[in-house]
Amino acid sequence: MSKRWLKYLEVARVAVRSRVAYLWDQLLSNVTLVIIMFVFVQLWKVTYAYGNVDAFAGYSLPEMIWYLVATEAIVMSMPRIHATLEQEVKDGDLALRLNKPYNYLLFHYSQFIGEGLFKLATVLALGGLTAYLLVGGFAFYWPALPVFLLLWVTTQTVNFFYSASVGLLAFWMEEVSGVYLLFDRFKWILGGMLLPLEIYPPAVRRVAEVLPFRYMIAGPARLFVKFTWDGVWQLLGPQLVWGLAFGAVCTAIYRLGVRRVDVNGG
Amino acid sequence: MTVGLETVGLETVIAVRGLRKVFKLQRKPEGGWARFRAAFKPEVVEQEAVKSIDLVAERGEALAFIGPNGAGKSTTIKMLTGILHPTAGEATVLGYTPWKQRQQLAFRIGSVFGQKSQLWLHLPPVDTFNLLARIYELDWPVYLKRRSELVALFELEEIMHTPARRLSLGQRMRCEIAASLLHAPEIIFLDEPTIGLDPVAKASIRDLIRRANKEDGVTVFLTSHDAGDVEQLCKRVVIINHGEIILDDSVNALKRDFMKSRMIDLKLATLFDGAAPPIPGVTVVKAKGYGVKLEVDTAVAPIEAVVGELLRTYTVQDITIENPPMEQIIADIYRERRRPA
Amino acid sequence: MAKFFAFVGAYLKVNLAAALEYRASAVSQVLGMFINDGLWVMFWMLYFTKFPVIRGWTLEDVVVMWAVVTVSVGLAMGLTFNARRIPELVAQGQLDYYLTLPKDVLLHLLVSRISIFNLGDMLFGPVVLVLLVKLTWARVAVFLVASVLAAIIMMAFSVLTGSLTFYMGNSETLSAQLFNTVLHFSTYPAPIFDTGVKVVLFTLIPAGFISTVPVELVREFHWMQFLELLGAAALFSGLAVVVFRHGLKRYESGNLMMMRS
Repeated sequence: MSKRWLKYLEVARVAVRSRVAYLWDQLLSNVTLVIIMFVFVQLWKVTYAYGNVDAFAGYSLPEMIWYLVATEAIVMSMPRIHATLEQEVKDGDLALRLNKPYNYLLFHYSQFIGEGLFKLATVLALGGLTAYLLVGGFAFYWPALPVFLLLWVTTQTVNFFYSASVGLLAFWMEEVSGVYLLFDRFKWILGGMLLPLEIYPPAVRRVAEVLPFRYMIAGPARLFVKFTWDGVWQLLGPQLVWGLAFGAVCTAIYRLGVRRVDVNGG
Repeated sequence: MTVGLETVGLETVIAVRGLRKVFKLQRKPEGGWARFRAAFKPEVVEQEAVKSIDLVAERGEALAFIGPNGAGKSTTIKMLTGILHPTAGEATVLGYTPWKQRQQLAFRIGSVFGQKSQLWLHLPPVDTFNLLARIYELDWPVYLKRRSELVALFELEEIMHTPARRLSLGQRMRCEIAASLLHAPEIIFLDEPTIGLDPVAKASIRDLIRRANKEDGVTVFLTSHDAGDVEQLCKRVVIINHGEIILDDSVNALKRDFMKSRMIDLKLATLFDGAAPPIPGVTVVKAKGYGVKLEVDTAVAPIEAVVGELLRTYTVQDITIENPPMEQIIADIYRERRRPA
Repeated sequence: MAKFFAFVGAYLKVNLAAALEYRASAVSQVLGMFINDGLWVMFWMLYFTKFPVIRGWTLEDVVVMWAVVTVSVGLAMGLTFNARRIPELVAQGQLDYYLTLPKDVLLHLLVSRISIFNLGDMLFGPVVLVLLVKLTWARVAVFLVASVLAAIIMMAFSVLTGSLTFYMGNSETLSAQLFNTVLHFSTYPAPIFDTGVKVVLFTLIPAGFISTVPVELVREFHWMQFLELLGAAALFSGLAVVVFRHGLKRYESGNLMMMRS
């Protein structure tokens, strides 16, 4: 039984190692992050200078910026699984993988987590450094560090199935990127990517609170900046539920799609 | 340099003298830090891709330009088509210096690269043809007439309107070659035109190239690893290796002088006894069960005689006679040239 | 001249035909871009609900900014998609293909690929302008002209950064980053930055010319500023052509290549 799972671990390890080879490229592509951070710091500095305190829902300037570091850490550490899956379906690489002794989705999940861990390290390092240099630190709850790692994994698991489901629509659609942008940006807007949900106007906030996206970005990010143990349970529960839901959808799409495997071009 | 050549008029279309290309390559180091250092202090290595070559081609010739990978073939072709500037030497193609008058030359030459397609994959070939007509600034009525001639010649009526990605490789190659002839070029450069094709498709492509050469007088400059391409399309072969021309002669001479051995694959009705066949010049290369691979030294024993003898000596179920691969011929030639006189 | 238009027209036809093959996905891609842009406008709407004026800029100004950026980038990337792809083209050996054809290489590669995806993004600007901004015919005219000039700067900048590949090997990542940097800075009001950054935004990373100046022109037209924008467009275009041609010469001499098939 353990042999079966060891292989997924190995897949994750190899994914991390292969990424390290591209460290330079990785750092370079994180320049966007530095720029986003820089610009937001400017924006918020100007805003905090003459806005009223109540408007910020209890977030200080450093906390607002570190909230962004956290959301970026989640979003930018996600490998582009929808594109990978779309590619494999279209190129017929999928067929290649089907006769290997592993579960297709688990294989990609392991790669996703492995690669994601590496990306997380670089994003946190770079984003954190930038934030620290620009606005200083905040009251980070260090004892909960291992919990944060766990939460990253659970959060990304939900994100994985969400994105993978869209990617697998490639079985039926010529081009998945448009639909993906739709789903992804929706997640951003209603998941508190740029602003903590507490700052949203009440009407929008009410909508966001019933959707799963708050557990995929805003929830973990908020915990990062304002940690409470209660918050952990309040996050894990719904994540489990939505993770299973998306997982089921993803698997269903996959099964339906595989039956339809159509080789393009003879 | 016109041994056994049939030329249509004696107009030189390609003239190369002392053409030389040395690349300065930057060694790409491993690892992030080394790469960073290298950006400031690059380690440069010189590579002589083409040492110094002389070449002349007449109008209407069908010339094979071959050599192993890394021999300098692509570099030479790139210099002749204006993509690359030489380090030294001269070349004139249709009166132009390729790297100086690239655009003017481009109107009069065509090129087909077996591994790269110029057809727009999602569109039917006819759309690419129309686009090329505009790129080459062809007069529209003239173009349409030419197009229908080529479509008839290449038998493209049925596939002209199918998206290119749905065509088989053979069909696509026919379209590629037709596309390269739309603007009635005087020379076409073909790089591996039959690569990956099945024998039937290969024969059809070769036929088309041959007709373009014979009927339209298009000079053909062919690069290929396929000995069949060389044998069936070209009268003359130029072999390049390590940046130098080591042979420039007719194909017949090549066959006569250098295909010194042929391989025969036999499938016998009875198990092979392991003993060497009692025919001088024939040795066993490999034997397993009912199959035997023999090498025939054609200098000692002509192939027809050997085959006859084998059929008499053994009960043969199947027999295949192979040509040695071009690489081997070239390797043999190179070895021969290097042997002290 | 006629031949030139026929040439460009042929590419338009081919690109449109290729895009139409995938009508449904083109529509979904465009919708996706709208959502992406819409996300940002929504962010600003949320922001300006709480903080109505920021260094003299209001929601209206930010909306105009987004409209200019989406129209100009959509125009630039839509009509000359290959401007961004120069490092990729070089790495794949596609440049050799252009070199075998009887046209100027830069012109050819710019004209040969049209991205319907990006052209669709152009629609966002007008839509959001009409919905959220007080318009007059004068303003619309200024908006259009300024956007075209901004598009030219965007295209020239892409060619410039793409040409880095001629000097340092595969610069795909670096060039893409520089492009994204300009794009990103273009979507924030320049007044929020301090002087040092502002200088950069009007020189190395011309985001200032792409968004701030057009917005100010729409708010209140000044000939001086308009001429500055015009000048910047001319300067960047000229520079792009010069640098690309020089880089191409280097490419053709085949030295200091990293990896070529």
